[in-house]
Amino acid sequence: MTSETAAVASSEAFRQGMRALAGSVCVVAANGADGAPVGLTATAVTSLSADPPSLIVCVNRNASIAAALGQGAQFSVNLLALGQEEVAQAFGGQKAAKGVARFAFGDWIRSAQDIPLLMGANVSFECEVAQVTDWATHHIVIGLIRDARFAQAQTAALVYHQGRYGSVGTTPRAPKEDGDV
Amino acid sequence: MMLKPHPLKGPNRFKIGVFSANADGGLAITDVPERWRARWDDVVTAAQIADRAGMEFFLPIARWRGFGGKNRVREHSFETFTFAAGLASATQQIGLFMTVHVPIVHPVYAAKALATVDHISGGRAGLNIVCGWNPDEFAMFGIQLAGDAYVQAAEWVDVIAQCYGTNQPFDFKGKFYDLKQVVSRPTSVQVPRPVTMNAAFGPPGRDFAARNCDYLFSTFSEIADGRQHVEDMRERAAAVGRNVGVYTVCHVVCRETQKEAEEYYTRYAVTEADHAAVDYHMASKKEFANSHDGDAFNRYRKRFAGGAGSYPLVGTPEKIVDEMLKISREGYAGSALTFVNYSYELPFFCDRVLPLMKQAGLRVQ
Repeated sequence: MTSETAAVASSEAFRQGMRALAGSVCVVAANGADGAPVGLTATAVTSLSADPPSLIVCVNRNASIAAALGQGAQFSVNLLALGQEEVAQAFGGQKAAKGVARFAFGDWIRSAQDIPLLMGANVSFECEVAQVTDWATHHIVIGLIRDARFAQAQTAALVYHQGRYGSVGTTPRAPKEDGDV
Repeated sequence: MMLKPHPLKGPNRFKIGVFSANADGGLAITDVPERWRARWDDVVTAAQIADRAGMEFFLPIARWRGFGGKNRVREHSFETFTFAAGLASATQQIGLFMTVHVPIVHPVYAAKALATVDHISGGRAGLNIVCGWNPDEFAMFGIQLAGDAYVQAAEWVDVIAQCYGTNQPFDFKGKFYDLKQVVSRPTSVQVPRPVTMNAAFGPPGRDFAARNCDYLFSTFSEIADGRQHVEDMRERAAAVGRNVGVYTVCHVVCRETQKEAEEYYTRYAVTEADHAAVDYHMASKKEFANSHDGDAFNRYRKRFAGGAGSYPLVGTPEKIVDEMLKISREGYAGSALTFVNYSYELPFFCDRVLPLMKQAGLRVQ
């Protein structure tokens, strides 16, 4: 049992340690209260359960998307493919674009539920917020997965590790004549 | 509905589309009996051929009156929002532009109409933003040509962006628009808005394109002159942190032999051109247009009759692909194409030219 006064690691140590936690790069997207699309690059996305299909997304309370992820809200979790680094950078605040202008990076299409989905992502999960739990600086958002869309050709996954983008998996050498699948 | 990225964001290195099939004559000013009459059934046929062949876009012109001459060329033309809506239901995958005159169409109307087509088509809508050049057309609407057309255009696209960006009523106060409590739902399927293009030639128009358009269409007299437009646009776009793809326009005569193609080109664009209409078109555009360079007017009357001053792709399938390869090497991302008769000529073009484009590395699908 830990007491409140027991020592915790410094945030510096936390950050340095977490740099070693390789993560699949995701962009979480939703609609703000005013109807404008909002999005955020996140690696704090975790598979939760297959029954019911659900996942966890952790977002800082101060992030612009936080207010859009209230109980019952619809959102998407897009698993980025190699080649979508610019999208990750734009939604990670590493480009000048703010707010809606971030959506100029990547090809975004609204689902039937009006949720922005990233075309070319390996997977786009359409989710509904089932529960939000707060922990210190962050909201822990449990999303019930309503639908999953897969890219026609799966490509290498974009991952983030030691402050750099990399990839896991393979990409087909050239786009095939996939036609209508 | 299957969600797909807009066709213009697809993988082909050199994208192609059909231009001006909504208007009498297409882009030609000719009196040959098979000239394009732009009847709806023929338009649908042409669009479906292009759609099945995997061409990326269908781009109409916006015309409110014709250029006179024997056939009153372009006088018959379909309005482009309703045109695109009709084609959206008749096609599966091709991008569908609407060509909209900023001074004539109110932005709140445009936002709703464009979103409607984007929904009908499943995210295939595109907006070609034009300021207009023809005072005779504006006179029909009681509108004066404004000197600061692109200032108005910038406000116009701002209004549309805000329509799509919020579900809360908003006020807009600019120099041209003073709007109260605007709402426009649904928003577009494409986020944050459908793809946009324009065809500006002068600096104010290109700066407008740099800020507000995804694609710029530009003509050139010779392929070797093309690069300057690409570089000019690239610089202007980079200055505002954006990318703008540059496309061109070509009129096509593709035949089995070079001789056959050239003879037909001369027949429809010289011998049997609608000369009175060519005179009117060239005179009025020379006086008011900023969309072509001066050389194009003086040197290329044939090209005006052939395809409104655009570049001619005339010859065998091999020759045409060779030319497109050169255009691509100048930095162009694609071309809008016109034909004397789209539904007669597209099948041969798609059967013979598209496979060669693949071989040449211009297209992967």
